[in-house]
Amino acid sequence: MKKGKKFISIVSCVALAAGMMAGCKGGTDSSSSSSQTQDKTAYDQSVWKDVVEFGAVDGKTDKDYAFAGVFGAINSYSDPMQGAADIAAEELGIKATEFDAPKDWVQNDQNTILDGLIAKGIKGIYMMTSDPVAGNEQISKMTSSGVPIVCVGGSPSTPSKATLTLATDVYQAAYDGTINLIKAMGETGGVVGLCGAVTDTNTQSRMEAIQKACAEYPNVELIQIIGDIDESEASVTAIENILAAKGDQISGFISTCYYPSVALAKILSDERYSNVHAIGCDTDEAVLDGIKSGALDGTMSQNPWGQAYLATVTLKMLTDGWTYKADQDFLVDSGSFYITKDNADKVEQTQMEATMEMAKTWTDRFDAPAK
Amino acid sequence: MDFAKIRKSNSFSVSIIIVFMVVVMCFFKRNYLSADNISALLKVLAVTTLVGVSQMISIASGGMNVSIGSVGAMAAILSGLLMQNLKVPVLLSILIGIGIGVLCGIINGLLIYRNGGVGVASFLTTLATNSVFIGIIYMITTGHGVSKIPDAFVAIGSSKIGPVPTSVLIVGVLITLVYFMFTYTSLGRQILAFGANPKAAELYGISRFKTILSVNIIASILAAIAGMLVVMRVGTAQPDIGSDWMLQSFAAPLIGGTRQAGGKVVVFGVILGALVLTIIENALVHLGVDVYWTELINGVVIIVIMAFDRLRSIKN
Repeated sequence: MKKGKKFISIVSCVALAAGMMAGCKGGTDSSSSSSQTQDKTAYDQSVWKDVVEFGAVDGKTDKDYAFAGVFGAINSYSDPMQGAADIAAEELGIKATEFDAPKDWVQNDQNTILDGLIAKGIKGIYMMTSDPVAGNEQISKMTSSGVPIVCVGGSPSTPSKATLTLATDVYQAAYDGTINLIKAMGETGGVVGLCGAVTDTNTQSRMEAIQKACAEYPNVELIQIIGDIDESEASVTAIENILAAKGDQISGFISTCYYPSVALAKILSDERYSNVHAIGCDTDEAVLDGIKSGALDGTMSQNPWGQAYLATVTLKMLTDGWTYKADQDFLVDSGSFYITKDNADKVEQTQMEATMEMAKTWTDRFDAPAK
Repeated sequence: MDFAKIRKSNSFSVSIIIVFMVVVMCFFKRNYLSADNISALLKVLAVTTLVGVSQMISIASGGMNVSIGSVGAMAAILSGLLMQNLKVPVLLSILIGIGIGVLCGIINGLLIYRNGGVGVASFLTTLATNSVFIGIIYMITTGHGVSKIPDAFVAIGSSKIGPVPTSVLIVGVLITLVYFMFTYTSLGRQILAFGANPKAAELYGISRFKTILSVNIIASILAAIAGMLVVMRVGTAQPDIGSDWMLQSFAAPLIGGTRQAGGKVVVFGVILGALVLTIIENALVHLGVDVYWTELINGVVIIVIMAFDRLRSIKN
């Protein structure tokens, strides 16, 4: 009997390992770190030429420019971040960055990662807190030990010791998305809003934006906002339920989070709903496929690429001695873009172009170091 | 069976609750029993029932399994990746998905057996394996869903035969097999005997090892199939599959009459329990309940129904 159990255990372990390897093969490519280069070509071609110094300034070494990005949880939103940060690092002649994130939106888990990075010598961090309130404590701890912090993706609660936050103006993005939907509907009909966790202040802003946009059009009625459905099954169930309950009144959906956008792309591909319009959120592959197939009219893309790029530049500048002007806003809008069939293949290009526009005046927000 | 006996049964009282809920909903919403809504209800009911039956088997043996969701996600993600990345045929991917369920069940069973068998040991063990399975999912997917699922796979669970979704038929077959297992096979009777009194069952020659292993393998196979049914319904395999199964997996069998301490199951009662949960979720959307109230109302209604049922059983 003992031999049998041992055999089962060994077979289990081997099979599990084989399954994991099968899953890994051909999966997403996460190896995006680029090697450090002292080649100034990228610098010479960048907007930073003769504005921000290349490489380490006097009195600093390469080790002082070891930066990392830490997102709030594993999330496809952060996919372009490390690549963008490494482009900035290459342009500015500093070390390639590191990137990490906890599995869930748990601040304690993120703190463990942050403490580990600082212990191994990281000198500057761009991050999205897992929790906007609890994360602020960790930010205070890190800045008091001399590590500059730039927040991305979403703002921590304010006041914060972070230098600034680069994030989407969620109210404006939701408002613009709803207006785009209403225009696609011909400025008439019923709208359903699909949102994430209602305890999140960002969700509350998005809900207000949807209400305001709908209220501006006399022939548009906000039928319902459904919240707490940023999960794959819950979002499908909610959309199927509302279509069954009020399908004859619904002309369009505005989704302000990921899973409902994916669910809309699937459900609205049914010919029965060909007259129902929808605007999604973010640019995951499934959402872009939904736009290309015509199930979705478009999606509101955010700018994670630009957030990480400008955050890395900012960390370099802060290390060089630049200081963020006191009269500048803590929250800097990194932009949001309406992606349709026409530009669905150019998402990153759209983000990069918008970022480079911001980059042209980025240093105006800072006081230069004394010569 | 005479009517007095039926009237005293748990299934009868739950059926009354369901009829009451449907009548109330029809009163407020004239189109509540429309074909679209019944179809929406049935699709959710299929997965909720299967998840409930999976947990019921663990409860029947005196244990509990909090890794059902992650097992479902493992099967869904790995079978999805095999189809997307390695172009593995649909049927083979389904078999591998079921195989992953078997594997997770063996791991759970061995660890639960080594840690003492039932009760808290099964809870703590599956809590740990749940974390491991979720960790593996995130390690493989890095948080990304699998979006290129073949149409043939999706069609298996999202088509209709007449007015009935195929997912309902699949779950109907599985639940019937589970009913036959508990009613007519020695394995089913051994699980119930072990759940009612493990020590007495062992004295009668029932193997603790075989029972625990069997229970976990069967429960995990059902969870794996539930995970793949979700992919067939959603059209993509997302790493968050099963993350919200915990409450429904326990509530469906317990509302349906399964004994909390083990040893007694009401297999078809799980369908009634799942139907209660599905109607609540569906009704909250139909009634346009404010987003800030839905979670509270959902929880309170489940507690009230379980309390009502407990009072009725005490009275009986």
